[in-house]
Amino acid sequence: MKIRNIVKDRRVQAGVILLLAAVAPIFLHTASLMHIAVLILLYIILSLGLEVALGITGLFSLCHAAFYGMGAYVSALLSIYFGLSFWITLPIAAICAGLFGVLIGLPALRTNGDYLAIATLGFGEIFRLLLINGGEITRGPRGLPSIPRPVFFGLDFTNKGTYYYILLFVAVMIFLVVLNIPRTFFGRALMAIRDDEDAAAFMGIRTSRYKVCAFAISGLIAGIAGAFYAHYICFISPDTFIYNDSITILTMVLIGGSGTVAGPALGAVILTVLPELLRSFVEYRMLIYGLIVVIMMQLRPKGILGHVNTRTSYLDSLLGSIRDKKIGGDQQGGSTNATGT
Amino acid sequence: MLLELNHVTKSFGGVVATNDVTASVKEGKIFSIIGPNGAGKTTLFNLITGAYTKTSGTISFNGKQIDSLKPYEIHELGIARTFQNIRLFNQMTVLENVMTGMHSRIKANAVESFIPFRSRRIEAEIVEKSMEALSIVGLADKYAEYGTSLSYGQQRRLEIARALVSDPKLLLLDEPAAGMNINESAELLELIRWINSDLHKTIIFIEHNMRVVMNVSDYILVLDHGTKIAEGDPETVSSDPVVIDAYLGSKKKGGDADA
Repeated sequence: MKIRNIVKDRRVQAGVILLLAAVAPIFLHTASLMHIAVLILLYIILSLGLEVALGITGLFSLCHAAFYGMGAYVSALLSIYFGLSFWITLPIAAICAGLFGVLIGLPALRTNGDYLAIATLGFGEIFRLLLINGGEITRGPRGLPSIPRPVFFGLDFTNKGTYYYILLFVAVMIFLVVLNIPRTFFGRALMAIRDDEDAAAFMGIRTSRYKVCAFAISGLIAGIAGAFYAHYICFISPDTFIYNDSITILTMVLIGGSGTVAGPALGAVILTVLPELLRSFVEYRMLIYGLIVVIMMQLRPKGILGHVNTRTSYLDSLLGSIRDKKIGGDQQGGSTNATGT
Repeated sequence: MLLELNHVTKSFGGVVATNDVTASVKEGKIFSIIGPNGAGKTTLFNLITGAYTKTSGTISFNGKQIDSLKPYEIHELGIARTFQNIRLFNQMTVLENVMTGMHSRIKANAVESFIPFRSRRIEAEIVEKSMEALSIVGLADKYAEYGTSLSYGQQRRLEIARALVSDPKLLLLDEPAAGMNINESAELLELIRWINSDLHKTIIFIEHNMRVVMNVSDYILVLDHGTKIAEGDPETVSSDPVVIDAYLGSKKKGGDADA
């Protein structure tokens, strides 16, 4: 029983996962395996970004790849044309992608559900066309080559391991931030919009403002991933950021369990590893991939971790601390708490 | 007067849902709105809470004109409501539902919710108030369950808690006893009376059950086809021939009215 409790403790689970992630590079001998590991982390960040819009706020966004591309292009262009360091272009790229999110969020106020999906799909396409027709600035479909690698206190950025550990840190930080959102009044307002937008407005929630906020955060997080991607691959072109990628990220969120934060991260791991594992079945690859996705949705329609609720344990701990405080107060001969029936 | 409706009219295309309704609600009273199905009772609630904008007339609350404000602005002023067809946040727990109702009472900035320790303090405060509201309606032990797993009557109580937690001056209850059995609705009446007398909330409620209405109301407004046909204290209204006519149909017309 005791061992079972330890295994069930979320902090223990998180610790084990983190430990495994930290030692993983030891077992990933080849460069291509390390590349997949880096991609997993990038997709975890991307799916966490979409989780804010889709999972928490219920905004069906199909332009997540455009936010990703915005981050990548802004960071790449700034460092190529102005020679800025990656550590300066990274926040600028994130903010630009966030502002792009605001831009998309504004029309999103007028649409909902399927219509919003179509609108964002259109926005993603506009973004791609802008890149292709960007003349000498974006170099159109030829893409941007030789993007400089980051420099940081003599760390070796030709080594994939360096990217891996930095991205692991960033991904964990973003995970903690996103995990905390549904535990706050801010996140609860977003969830209320997801569950019943009209009722949310009657609860005093400024629904339009919060929807724009959700898009901005979603874009900001994707922008971070984009900037890292650009300076990791060192070459970006418009066809990296097409709607196909948006759909992949969307699938990650849904397969993992939208609204659970841990789910989308798991979905990102599965859907990045799966195509690689199936590489040997070349012609049947997409078929098997599709089949697995269908089976998963059949067995777990809410996503693999769809049943997970990490909010109640947090609320319990808050309730516990309130009770402790009250008991302490009563012993000092203090307050009486009148509660009616 | 806490709430004043002055010649309020709302029409949807050719249909006049609310026709020139004038009424005023005194502070501290239980005010009920009755009328046959489709009489425009919920439309009136939607006008007060800002879901609809009136076609003409004025609505003022505490001396302030509110008929062109947004729903969230009206909630901030202190009008909270429940819904005829229960509208809980399905993917949230009972406690979270109530906590959401506190939203416009939180003075903190949204950015503060990203600062770990600051956020914890804000949330602890919200939890404390919300648990109080839950114990008022008798659902404190269910706080960790999902709203959808509650019984119908409990869901209605949860909606009341969610409205109460923002400490509104005026509480709008849209058919709170609908679908409840006799015991449940009797308990609910007790609760409504208690909220009125001990928490000093002014309450407007819509109800079909005449016995319930006559029992609990200080003042009754009767609507039919969007028009006010009678108002007054329970005795006056229940003996008014126009009201009896609207509810039961007159003998001359041959019973084509709603039951």
